[in-house]
Parts: sequence; C-alpha cells; structure tokens
Amino acid sequence: MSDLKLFNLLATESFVYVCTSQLSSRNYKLTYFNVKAVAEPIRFIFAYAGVEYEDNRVEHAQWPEIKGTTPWGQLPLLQVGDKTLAQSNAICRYLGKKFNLDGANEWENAKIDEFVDALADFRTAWTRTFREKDETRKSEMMKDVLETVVPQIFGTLDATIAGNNGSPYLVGKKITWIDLQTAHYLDMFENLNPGVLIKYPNLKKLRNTVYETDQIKAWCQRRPATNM
Amino acid sequence: MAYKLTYFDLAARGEPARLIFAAANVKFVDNRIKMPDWPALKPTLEWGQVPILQFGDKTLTQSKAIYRYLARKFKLSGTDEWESSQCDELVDATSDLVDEFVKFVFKEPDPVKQAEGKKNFITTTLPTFLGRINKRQMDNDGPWLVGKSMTWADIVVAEMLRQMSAATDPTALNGYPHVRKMIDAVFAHPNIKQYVDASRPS
Repeated sequence: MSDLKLFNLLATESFVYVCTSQLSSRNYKLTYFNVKAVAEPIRFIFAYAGVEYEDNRVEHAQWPEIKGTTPWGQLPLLQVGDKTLAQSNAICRYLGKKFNLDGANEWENAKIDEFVDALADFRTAWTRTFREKDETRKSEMMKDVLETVVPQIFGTLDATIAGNNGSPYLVGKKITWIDLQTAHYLDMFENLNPGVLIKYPNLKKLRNTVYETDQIKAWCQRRPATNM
Repeated sequence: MAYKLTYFDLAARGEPARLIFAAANVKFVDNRIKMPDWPALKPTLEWGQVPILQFGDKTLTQSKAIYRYLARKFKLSGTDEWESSQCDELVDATSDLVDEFVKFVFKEPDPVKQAEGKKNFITTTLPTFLGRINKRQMDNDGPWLVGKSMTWADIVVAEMLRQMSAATDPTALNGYPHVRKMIDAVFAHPNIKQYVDASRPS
C-alpha cells in the first residue's frame, strides 16, 4: 500500500475510533430489577426524550453478587460511559437536565426538587405499608396514608397545578421530569386504590396527559409487563 | 432582599442550610421558631412542615430542595453537571440514613423495638455508610467528597454525621480517618467555624 493510502486508512480508522469512543462515552445503561417501581420514572425520561439506553434488568438471584459492586448496596444505577451515578432522583435530575426536561430557571428547578421530595414522603408512607407484616397495624397505616398523607400531599400538588396559570404541568409551561415521575406513581397508586384521584382532578389530568403522549404510550406498550 | 429561613431552634434539618449560608458568607434572617408558637404556624404552611426558605414573595419547602437551591446559587455544588449529580447522590444516600435514624431514635413507639433499632443502626447501618463515605473521600483528591473544593455534599454529610454520632455513638467515626478528615475540613472552614462558635443551636 502506498504511504498516502496507508496514511488515509489509519486516519480514517482513528477518526472512526474517536467517533465511537465519543459515542460510547454517551452510552447509557440503566440497571434495576425487572419491575417498574423507582426505575420507571427514569425509563419514562428516556422514553419521552427518545434517547436509546440499555434497560438492564437483573434477576433477584443475581443481586447478591452485584450488590457489593454498587456504591450504596442499592439499585437503580446509571452508567454513562465509564462513570456511575446512583440514587434514583439524582439520576432523574441529571437526565432531566441533559434532555431539556427540567425547569426554565433556577427557581422552577427548586420547585421541581420540592415536589419530588414531597412525593418521596408520600412514597415512604405508602411503601412502608407493604413491609408491615401485622395485618392490624398494616390497615392502620394504610388508613393514615389515605386519610392524612394523601390529602396533604396530593391536595397540595393538585392545588399547585391549579395555581400554575392554566398550565397542566406541575412547574412552568412545559412538561418536566417531575410530571413524568408524578404520573407514574399516581398511576401505580390509583391501580391499587381505584377512585383515589377523583378528588384531585388536576393530578388525574396530569396522569392522563403524560400517558397519552405518543412516547409514553409507545413505551407502555413495549415495556415488560410486571406487577409492580 | 434577604433570604429568610424558618425552622425550629434546633440543628436537625435546618442546620445544613444555615451552614451553607455561613460558608458562602451570605446574610439571612435565621428565623428560629419557639415550640409554643409551632401549632399556630403549622396550618399556615403549604406543606405543614419546616424548614421553609422565603425570598421576596416566593417560598420553598423541603430541606434538600432548599440546600440544593442555595448551593447552586452560591456555587457550592461542583464545577459541572456531573459533579452536581454526585452531590445529589451523596445527599440522597445520607438522607436515607437520616430517615433510618429518625425512625428508630424518634418515631418507634415500642421501647424494645427502639432499642433493637438503635443497636442495629450503631452496629450495622451507620458503619456500612461510614465505610462508603470513607472510600468516596479516599478515592477523591483532597479532603472533599466531590471535586476539588467544598460542596454542599460535604456540608450536609458532615453535619448529619455529627448529629447522628452524637446521638447514638460518639465513637462511631473512629476507624474512618477519611470521613474524619472531611468533617474536620468542613468545620475548620473559617466562615463555618465562625457561625458554629456564635450560633449553632444547642
């Protein structure tokens, strides 16, 4: 091969290598169990943004050997190239910003953070009932969720949308990652507590709006069917 | 227009915000509620909770949302989005630990379960967490958990570990020299030291 041809070949290969390594540094891999739960808000972000990622679902049998390799002994984990990020809301916030699904300014982002933490308070109260083995105590806890926690938190979120200048979203004029997350948890909660959203029409509308988008509709049709 | 932080006259979930203001040397109204005034105040709050941060006509609730907003405003959240996300990860992990701590130290009504929970926290939960923070600091250059300068992650982790070890096991931090190094660096910061010496709640 002439020197020029060889040079061109090497230059092309280097170019391809550089392109590929740049692409792979943006490759996303999400690792979680084969359930929706706290990874689904992340999957919704990828789906809504139309960004490819590896949806790595681990079987419970594999978990013991993986657990020690994770930063906090937990999932989900997001790998971006050679870097790892843990904590579901840290992941949502990072991707939300990357894919323009965050607030329009610092204050809107602060309100998104406020709502995601309030939603987490609701989830903690709710999921605690799953782990309670004593049936009497479990009913008491669920009663408290429905009579105290839900009115406080759903009520305030519903009023937030009502006060958002005609926008159907929780923050600002466009959909953000908090809308995607909230819609998912509302949907899961309503499936187990039919009719609970009747008192919160703005939340019900938000859930429907998110689920009726082409991207989320398509994702729900192709995602693995799991109970939780 | 000054920021106003409203919280009880306690460290707990208000103190990291006070420390962030101190680190940034930003004046704020440190509105400390007296317990007898709380029942009247609570129903006026959007979420029935404190801390809240007020700025002009705007109100922000939820402790982590407040810390993160202030940290970003005062450039204490890392130098890029990845470092910011690392701060978020560390604070969320710490928050999980604090929730565990609060559950058994404050919320468990059954004294037997409470004693069990506290023992489990001291022998397992807290050391596991400390091991991870120790490694995180060790893997990073310098005394901080993220990047090359102090972030709100250092402040929150240092303050919450200070509170939790004081309440459960003051010797807990022995054996984690890198954690110790980070905590000492936070509280040796001149602005923070000045605030703590003058105004840390008892």
